[in-house]
Amino acid sequence: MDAFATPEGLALAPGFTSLSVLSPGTAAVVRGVGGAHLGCASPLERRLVELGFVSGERIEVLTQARPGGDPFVVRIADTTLALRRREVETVWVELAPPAPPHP
Amino acid sequence: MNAAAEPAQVLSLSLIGIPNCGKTALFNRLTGSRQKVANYPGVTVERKEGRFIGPASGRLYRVLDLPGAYSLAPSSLDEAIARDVVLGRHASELPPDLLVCVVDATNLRLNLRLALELKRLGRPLIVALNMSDVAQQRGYRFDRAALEREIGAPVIETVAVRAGGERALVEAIDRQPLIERIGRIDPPRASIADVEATQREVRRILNIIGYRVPARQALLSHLDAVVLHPVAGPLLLALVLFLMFQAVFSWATLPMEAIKSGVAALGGSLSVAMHPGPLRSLLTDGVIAGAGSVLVFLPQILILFLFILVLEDSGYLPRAAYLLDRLMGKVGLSGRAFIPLLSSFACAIPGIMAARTIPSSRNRLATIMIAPLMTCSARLPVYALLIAAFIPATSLGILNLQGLVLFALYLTGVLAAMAVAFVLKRTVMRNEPRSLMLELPEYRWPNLRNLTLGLWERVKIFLNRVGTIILSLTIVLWFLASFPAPPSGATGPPIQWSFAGLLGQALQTLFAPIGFNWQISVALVPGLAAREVAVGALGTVYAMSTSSNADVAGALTPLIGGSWSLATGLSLLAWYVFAPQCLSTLAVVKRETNSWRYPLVMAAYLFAMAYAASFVTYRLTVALGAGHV
Repeated sequence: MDAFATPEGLALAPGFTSLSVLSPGTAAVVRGVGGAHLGCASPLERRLVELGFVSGERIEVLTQARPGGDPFVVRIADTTLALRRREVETVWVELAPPAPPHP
Repeated sequence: MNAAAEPAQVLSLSLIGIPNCGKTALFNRLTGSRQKVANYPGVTVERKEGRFIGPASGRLYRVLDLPGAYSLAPSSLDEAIARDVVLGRHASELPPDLLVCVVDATNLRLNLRLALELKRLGRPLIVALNMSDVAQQRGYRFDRAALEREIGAPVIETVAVRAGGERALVEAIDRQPLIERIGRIDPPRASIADVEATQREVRRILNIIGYRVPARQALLSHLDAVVLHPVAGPLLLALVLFLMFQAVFSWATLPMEAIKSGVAALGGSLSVAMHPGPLRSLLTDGVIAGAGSVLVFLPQILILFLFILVLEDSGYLPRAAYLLDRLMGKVGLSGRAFIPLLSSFACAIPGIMAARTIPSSRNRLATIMIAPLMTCSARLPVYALLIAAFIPATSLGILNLQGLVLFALYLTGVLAAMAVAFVLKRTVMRNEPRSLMLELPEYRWPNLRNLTLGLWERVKIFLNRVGTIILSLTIVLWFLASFPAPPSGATGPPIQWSFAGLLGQALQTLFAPIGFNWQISVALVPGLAAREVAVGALGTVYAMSTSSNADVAGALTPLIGGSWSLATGLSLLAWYVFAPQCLSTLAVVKRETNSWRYPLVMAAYLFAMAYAASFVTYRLTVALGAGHV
């Protein structure tokens, strides 16, 4: 499914959650960033989209700083990023089925 | 370039790409050593311009290495500069005739968006597909010709780290017709829907060209698991930094001794060869004792820069920034501030400029304000001299006391910086949303050629300083210290009767409470222009104030060790932790903040802290009984 095509689906879909609740080692699929699907995005959200946080992209939380659990290290597609909690919180994800083995 | 052979055409070329795409390495490859070295005391510092001549057309290309930018919608000053140049809207740059967008072939998913954005501007564009060798080795697959068709611009494979890896790009640039010049372009207005549409376009293109990415190497994942580990990561970082500072002191000993004895031999042979008189005094006491005693510190500065360059090239620095983000967040800074601050250990000027990558303007300002508290390499000569004179070289297990004191001095600077940042956080930076959003690029072996070019740049800048500012100041100081001559029948060293002596004695009223004698007070004055000049100045002052002037450049250490009390030595060390005297830094702060307010505030607060720290240090050590020679 495509979150952009059905913006109202974003809030309704039961499997959707904020990236910030994922524990390290969990993989998910990005469904959207903040209010981007409604056509309004903060500069921060815009930059996240530019960095590749677009619907359908695979994402994984690699680690979190301890103590405090902030910032996060996430790997989205082929890019590793360090993000603060308030940045991670704006990303909506859907828990992914286990990754297919690489060919 | 030979002035007689005028090139047919001069074209300006901008190199643009996202951070970590290997753009600067490609720039080095294109322009080799024909680069304009940034001259710190001057203006236009951030500009990295080089040039090359087209082999077929004979055109002269002026290449500008723009700061890394993810997007033309800037979120930092760095990105704003890149955007302005590309659009032809920068106040002091010509609109580029040709854009070369450097993309990392091993991460097209992230890199391609900028290329599409640039293509829409309508300027001639060439896409340099960099790191194509790594992409091939690791098993990335895609159809280059299809990519060229989809983007609508030539796509040229480059290998910035191999000789000849730029040849195809040079030929492609040379083949561009480039007849019409396009001036200013309006900034593209892209809504968030447009950004998403471009991202979909990127994914569509990747699909068409059959872009296949191999799994990440297990070794790199394991490496990240250790480097980014909540416990192992910070320990490793502490170890790296500690090794760095130990190396600065221990590895540099041999080359330093060599330079020292070379300078001493030169001074000695000149003393023998020349007749006594003002000229001989100028050469041996002024030039050789002054500039020579600064030159000695070149090896230490190079080792420090070598470490920073290696850490930067390997991809470790952004990871260190991540590790420190939480700690720095406590005092209101972003982990991103780590990179500018680490550069400030080499020199505050590139550090202050590197703060441009920090998106939040208040955060950036706070980073700029504390950057001079990081012990820059110009303070290293002063520290090294004083430590050698006052701290015994006792070894404590594998460590040595001198190295530990040096480490403590660096640490004091860092802690003071954190304290200042904390005060700023509680006063002017309240409620500032903090952001990190930092890419952790893939690990890479540092490239020898880039390291060499980077270090060579430092050597040139340092020698330039020694040859210009430091040399001229030491000569001026020599004049001040030599004239007027003492009246006949006067006792004591002749310098006491000179202008410099009078100035020092006048300043001494200000500095006596913190234990500085008149010689130090004199040396602090030229030290305003550049901190390391203080060492040269002490060299000159003492060469003039002792009757035997043989070999002063090498003999400064025992000389001050014998004539200052321990309290004075420590007080001067404390002074230099804060030392506000660096006009070039203040000038850069003025330029970067576009206001006189911040450089003035900076000078005032640093001076106050320096005086306070020296006062406390001096009074405390005197009270402990170390106030005598």
